Amino acid sequence: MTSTAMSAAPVLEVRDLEVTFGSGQAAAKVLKGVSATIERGKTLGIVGESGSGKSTLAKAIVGLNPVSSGSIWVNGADVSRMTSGQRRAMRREVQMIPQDPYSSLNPRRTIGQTLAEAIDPVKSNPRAHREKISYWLSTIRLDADVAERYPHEFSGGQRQRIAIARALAVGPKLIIADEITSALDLSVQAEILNLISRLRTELDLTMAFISHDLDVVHHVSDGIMVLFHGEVVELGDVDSVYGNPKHPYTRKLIDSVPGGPGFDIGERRAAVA
Amino acid sequence: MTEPTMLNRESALFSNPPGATKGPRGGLRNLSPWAGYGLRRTGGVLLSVILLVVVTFFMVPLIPGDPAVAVAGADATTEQIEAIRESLGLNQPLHLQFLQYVGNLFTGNLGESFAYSTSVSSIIATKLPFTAELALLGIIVTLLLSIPAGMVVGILTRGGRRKWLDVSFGMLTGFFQAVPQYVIATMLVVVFAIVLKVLPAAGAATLTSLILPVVGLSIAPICSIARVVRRETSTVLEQDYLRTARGWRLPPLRLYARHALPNLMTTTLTLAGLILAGMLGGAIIIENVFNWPGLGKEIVTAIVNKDYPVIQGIILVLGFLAIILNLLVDVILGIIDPRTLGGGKSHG
Amino acid sequence: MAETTRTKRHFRWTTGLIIGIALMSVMILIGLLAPLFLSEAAEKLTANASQGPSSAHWLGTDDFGRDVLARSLVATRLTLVMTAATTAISVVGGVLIGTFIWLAPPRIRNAVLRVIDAAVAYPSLIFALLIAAILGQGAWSAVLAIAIASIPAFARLTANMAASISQRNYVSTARLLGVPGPRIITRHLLPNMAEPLLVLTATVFATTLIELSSLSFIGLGVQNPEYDFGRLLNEALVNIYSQPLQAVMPSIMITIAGLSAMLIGDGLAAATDPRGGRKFGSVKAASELPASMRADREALVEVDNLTVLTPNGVPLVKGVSLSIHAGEVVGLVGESGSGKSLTAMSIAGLLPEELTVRAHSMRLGELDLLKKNDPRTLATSIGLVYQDPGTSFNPALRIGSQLTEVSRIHLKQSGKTSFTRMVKALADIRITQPELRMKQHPHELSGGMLQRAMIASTLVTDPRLIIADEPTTALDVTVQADVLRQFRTINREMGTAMLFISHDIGVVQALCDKVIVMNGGKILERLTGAQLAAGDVKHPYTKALLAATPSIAERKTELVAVRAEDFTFDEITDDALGPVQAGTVQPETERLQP
Repeated sequence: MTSTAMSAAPVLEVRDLEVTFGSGQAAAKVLKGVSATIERGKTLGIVGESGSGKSTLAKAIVGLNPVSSGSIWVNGADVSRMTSGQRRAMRREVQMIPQDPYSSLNPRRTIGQTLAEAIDPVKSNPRAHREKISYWLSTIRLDADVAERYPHEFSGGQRQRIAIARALAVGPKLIIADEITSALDLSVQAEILNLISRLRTELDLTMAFISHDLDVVHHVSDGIMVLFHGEVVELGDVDSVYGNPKHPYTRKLIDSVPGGPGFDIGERRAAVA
Repeated sequence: MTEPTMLNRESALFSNPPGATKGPRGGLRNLSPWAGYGLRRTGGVLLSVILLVVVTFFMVPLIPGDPAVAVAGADATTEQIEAIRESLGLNQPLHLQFLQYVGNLFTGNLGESFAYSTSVSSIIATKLPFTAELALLGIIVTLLLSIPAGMVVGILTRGGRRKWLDVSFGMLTGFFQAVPQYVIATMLVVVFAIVLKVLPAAGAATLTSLILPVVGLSIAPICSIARVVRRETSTVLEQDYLRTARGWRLPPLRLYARHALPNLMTTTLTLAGLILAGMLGGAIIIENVFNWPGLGKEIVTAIVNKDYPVIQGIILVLGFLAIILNLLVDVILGIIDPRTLGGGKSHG
Repeated sequence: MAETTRTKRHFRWTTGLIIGIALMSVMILIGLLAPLFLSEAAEKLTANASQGPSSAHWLGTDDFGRDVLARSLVATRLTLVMTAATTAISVVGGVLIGTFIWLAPPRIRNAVLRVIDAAVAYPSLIFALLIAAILGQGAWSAVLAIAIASIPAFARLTANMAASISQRNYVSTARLLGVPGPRIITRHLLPNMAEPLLVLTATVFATTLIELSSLSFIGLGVQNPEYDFGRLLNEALVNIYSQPLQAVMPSIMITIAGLSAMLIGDGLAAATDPRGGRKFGSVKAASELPASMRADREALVEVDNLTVLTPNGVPLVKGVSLSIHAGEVVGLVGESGSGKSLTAMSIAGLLPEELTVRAHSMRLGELDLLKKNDPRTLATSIGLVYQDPGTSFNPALRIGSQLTEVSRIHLKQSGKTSFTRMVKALADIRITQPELRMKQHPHELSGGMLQRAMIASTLVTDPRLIIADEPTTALDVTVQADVLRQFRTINREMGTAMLFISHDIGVVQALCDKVIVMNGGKILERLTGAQLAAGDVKHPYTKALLAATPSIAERKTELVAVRAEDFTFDEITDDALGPVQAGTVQPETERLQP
């Protein structure tokens, strides 16, 4: 990674990415040539239904899923051409916030230990990083003394905020949020979405925001990518995709959102209507 | 979702980590599910057999010091030791010994006994029926008693009802699991053969002499399996699909027999396979208590006499029986629960 | 949903655990003290051979004139030491293999797991005999034999636990953070496996105790002049006719040792079981709760002052009253914990049995739902659709046999008739290849297809009411639209009344004629679907919910973060606007609360 390349290149560039699970007759191609870029400070919303490959894409980008062909470029460097040492360093540049707030924090470690591990993965000493820990806790509007407490003392929304703080504490170039609000109630979801919006402006975050919920993606994203059976069917600016979808699947998806303008489930019963 | 708790060592053995059961949703493979299942199981059986053959083969070379000296004993002459070395094939390189061992296995030649100077296969042929009789009867009794008992207790104590039954069932089954089989067997002898004098204490002469060994062999596995069934029953009764069936207001018998039973059989049978295979080990102990002329009695004598060909042969036979038992269980599982075919047992 | 409160489990001391620990302490004490004081009586050969019980020898003497009681007590030390050593070796070996294979590449890990699986299939005693045959007879070769034979099972169990924990998000996140592999094991895997491992260790202690003494018993373990419980019983068996008492004491000792280990294992398991400690409440009590609303005799469903209590008497539903008219779709909307599902399941009579249901009245037509009703009438009058189609179908049975249960059991239709009718119902709801589907198992169908099949099965009995509990929550958005369309068609063409539960405001406003907003077990507001869609709401909680919902229709600069607990006040009713004639919840209901 050279610093000259870093300034010009997009934070993430994915080219013709393919991911196949299994082999031989049982092989299933989950991603079929996905290409996308995310510029610094932008958020790309990735939407799709189950089986669309959106979570596979997220895991491939952070290196948890093997890539069968295509390439992933982070800050202008091709991940596949890195040595294993470089790749290990690169891993910290891309952080993922997981979906389930109940399994994302180790129940046997305090919040302070969890955040210290993000700051220094090897030594993970909360006392050595007390200032940084309280800084990140204040960023997510939690008091510094919660560092002593264990995850079970927090609500789902608070845990999700802690998971966000852990991802931020690494100082990553890119954050991948994988369905981070889908396990939450509406009111808690609003709290998390507000936090994400605030952090985007305050910290100039670059983000891939994955969700099945078109309302939510619409709320937080600059650009939208629509995945369908492992293929990108539409990619573009959020307002143009939602306002004027080109692909029939995108149109169907948008029209299926209850309460949306195109939503129609047929006539009401005459007597009541 | 509750976290899996390891209430019982067997229960966790084949329980899948969450998420691992999400096999391919059908249609992904062109193979029929039974063919795929058969292939996977054949692989597993082959591996088990290979492991068994390799381990039994290495038994002799692994003996500390010179195996021939160990076999011949302290006051053997050099000629005697050399003769034993020859008959064990210890003069040849290891890989040739192994090839010869495998070759002999294929022809059913398990070697010659040192102690009786007859072929090992003929010893096994005379002893195996006794062990098979004992084990088979034990397995049947175990399955017939443990599954209904566990289910009834599971149903009666559902949702925390009848705490007293729950506690006494747990105490009773726990007690019989904690007492070694040979102690139970010895006590059976004391009570029924010595004090009451109603049943023979030992031997295999009459049909009544089967009763005590079978009871002694089955009590512990009955308790183990009944506990598994009871726990599985209470888990299954809390599943969503049982609420669906309750919503159809089905009669209780139909609800439990048709909707609960097949689902609790999956785990139960997987564990039962292990427990039933373990009964082969139990048979060795029981045979020694009741002086039962089976493989178990024979192998103990052989170990004391350092009669290695006989030891190898009996362990091979018992190992094969265990593999066959597990395979049988897998086939029954595949019939009862089609999800098993989709690779539900694969790990990780 | 995951939004259930998970409090940290606190350790529960059960009687079994206390007894187990007490017995084990006594055994350890005997093991420490007996060899110091009784060695001579236990080991010195005397002329008083094969005596019966006397004041000098309480349980008599053996063939060599040694005191049977003393020998049984002294044998405790060797037995416990051997068992502890065996347990230690197999636990350490098993945990090392079971955790460290997760650091290995997947290929090696799978290969090791397969070998372990193959080894687990053999009875460990046979395995142990093999090792004993190699090492020869003796105490320490028995320890090694049993320990090595127990390692595969323990490694398997540890690997399973490690597998389940390494799928938790905090482990994959730790990898992304760059935490080195061994530290992932020590920081994340082992601490979270500690409790089950402890339980397992106690169980392994009990089983090794049995197996070790079994080896001694058949003469392949401890050899003369050493002795453990198994060896003593082996000697006693020879004299069982002449000296039956000789077998009693070692039997008692080994039973106590095994039992205490088993009790400790079971007790630890129960103490750490999150499902444990549940109380059981009364089933269903029709009670003299006061009436709360004006009689709505025309309504098809009338629920008056419904209260649901936990076994501890904590109210989960606090005096809910609602009515559903024929042909009407009523929506219950609220967040988790609002009591909407409990309300619906009370009407269906399908609440978990430990909950207590009380109401002034609850009826469907002339059917009193507080009484025990004829199963056939209930099954055919109320159709039920549940949240997760993936778990609501019995995985072991074919779709067809499940869908036709009600027709065959309650309507006494033949298998053939019910099959043909069901195939037609599936075709009506636009399920492709209905005959094939009937013969398939649930795991072979998609969630949307299963949910539509469930809806179709409720229709064949022509029910008066369909209760749908979050029926689209587990579905994709396009499938959800399709299922909602199905509900709308059924309601329009067959006029079936529906109670529709959802957390999604967009869904209820689109489908429902009337919407009831619930929070904290109470009704806060009653609206029409149109009012909700237009944002014409009165209650601050409903307003806040709407403001908290992101929408594709407009981009809100900031969402309002709501805290459901802040809105505990009561229903707002305004008769001029109130669409439902139902009156207010009377203050009487408040007395129910503790």
